[in-house]
Amino acid sequence: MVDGRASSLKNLLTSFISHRNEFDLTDIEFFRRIFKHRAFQWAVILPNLFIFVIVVISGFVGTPVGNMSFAVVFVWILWWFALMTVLTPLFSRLWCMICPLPAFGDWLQRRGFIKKEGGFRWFGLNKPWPAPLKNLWPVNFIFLFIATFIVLLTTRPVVTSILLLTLFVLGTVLALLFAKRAFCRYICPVGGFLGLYSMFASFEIRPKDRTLCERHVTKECVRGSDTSFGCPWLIYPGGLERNNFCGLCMECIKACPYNNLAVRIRRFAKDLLVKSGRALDEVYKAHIMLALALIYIAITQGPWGWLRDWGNVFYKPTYGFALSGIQGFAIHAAIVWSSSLIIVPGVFYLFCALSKYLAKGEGSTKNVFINFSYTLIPIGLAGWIGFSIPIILVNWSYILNVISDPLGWGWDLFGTKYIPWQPVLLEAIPYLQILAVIIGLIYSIKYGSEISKQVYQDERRAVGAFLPIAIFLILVSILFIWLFVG
Amino acid sequence: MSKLSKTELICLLIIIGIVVVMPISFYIYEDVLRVNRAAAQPLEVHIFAWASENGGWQPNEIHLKLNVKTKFIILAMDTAHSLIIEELGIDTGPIPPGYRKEIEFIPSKEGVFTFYCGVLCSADHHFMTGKIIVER
Repeated sequence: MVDGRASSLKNLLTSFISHRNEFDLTDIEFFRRIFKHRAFQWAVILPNLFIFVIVVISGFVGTPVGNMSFAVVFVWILWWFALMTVLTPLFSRLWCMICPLPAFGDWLQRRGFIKKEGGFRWFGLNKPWPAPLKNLWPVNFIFLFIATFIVLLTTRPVVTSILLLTLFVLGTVLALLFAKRAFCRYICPVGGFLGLYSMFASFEIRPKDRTLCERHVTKECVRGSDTSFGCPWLIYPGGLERNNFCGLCMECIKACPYNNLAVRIRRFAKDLLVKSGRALDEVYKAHIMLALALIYIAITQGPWGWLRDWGNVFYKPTYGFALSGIQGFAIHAAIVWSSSLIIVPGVFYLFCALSKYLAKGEGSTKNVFINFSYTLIPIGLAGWIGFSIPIILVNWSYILNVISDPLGWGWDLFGTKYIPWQPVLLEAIPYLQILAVIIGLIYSIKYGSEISKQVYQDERRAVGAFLPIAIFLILVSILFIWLFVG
Repeated sequence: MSKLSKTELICLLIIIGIVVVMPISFYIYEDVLRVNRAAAQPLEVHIFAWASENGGWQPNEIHLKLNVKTKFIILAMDTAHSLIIEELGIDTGPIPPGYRKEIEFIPSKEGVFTFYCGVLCSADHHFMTGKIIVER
């Protein structure tokens, strides 16, 4: 018994890096029961809904002071850090499992919170999502539009509340018009980058035996059963090969009559080698995220105050030669959009063209570009982790302050309102950031060389073809480190 | 529409509690705090300090009774502020944004006095003034 437990623990600990020891949580009775329980998702959304309501209220009626605002502190300090450094790299789209934004839409569509009853009919028009929009381009552009207002979002609580309320209303309305989670899949700006970076995560839902799923005719994981609504994410769980569009809602686990779906802890970055599903709209997301990581580090953590002023559309110049709010913001927007859509992908395309030339490749440069763009996922995520580390280490004490005074009305509910600002581990920040970038680079290089072998088959050609891509990844890493510590 | 089961009804009540009751309770709590404070003090004045560009002092005209113990509760709303009334010898010192400071005093002189912010709080800081009227 003890040996068995020790062996399970060893499997669990090695499952993050080894492909031999993937650890299936459904092997444990406790997790299997929880995942199959109908109240599971409702229960995990509830605490988040509680926080979401406070966030929205505090933005509208609470203090407009950023570091005293529950909206700014909980969303842009706590949530952002947790999302980019813990939830997504370790647990894939765990955030989507607990997100309150589409919750009301789900409950309306299902005509209830928990129960699945016989004779069930979906509520709402239940229309299919328009075919021309069945891609990530709308998500990319919506995300980029919101990202342009980063300075306002992170400093003015009311802007955060307006954004969250808009997404909430949009999620609910779209649920009444279109089938299932069309909002999460094709509109949600957070879902776009979570899907991309969940490919790196050490967590997955996959069929245990694919042949069993293929043979199984009734496909309850899609169509639903007496105990499940079926996958709301418009995917076929029996054919899952990558994390991108799996929101971990566990409906497929509840539905499968053969218990043929596993919830596994696995090695990092496994999905980067999955060839199916690779597409231009998806890899553009990787370029947008990489460009934004570089720009945001420069704007919010760099020494260039004027760059930050440009991001503030309401900025009033206090010295003669400064640009006005609109002028500066136009330049800021141009930098954000051109870097994300033209400069970063354009430079990478040139490296891909060089790669193809060196390998004497036959296919199109566009294909090389699409395949190799997946190498940007580990280094991009590492950049975002490096960006998020100082945010929490410097500002964590504000979380305690706003818990006691969520609206900034001078309350002190838990006696933590007046805890002074106390940043921690400041000396360690650059080392942690460099460590994150180096780990990201190692993964990018490792998986990039594997992708190169997929593209070119021949080992020698693959090595030559990957050389320019490796140089690009190293240059990006140097740029990150320079922005962090230079 | 089918009848709600007991479980669904409990779920619905919990959601209503979070979405409707909780926000209302914030206001009730704030009002209770105010009432308690008012019961403990004969005269209590809440003053919200905004930079001039954001509206300045709210209220910017305050009527007080001569020789009646008074408590000012000053909340710095958008940036650091302070409240100074030279003639009555009051200076709160800087109040960080999002914090409140309480100050008790007895207005012992009749007349109209100017109060102002003593922290260089914005470009229009010098316009951040208000009027105290002390009457019998």
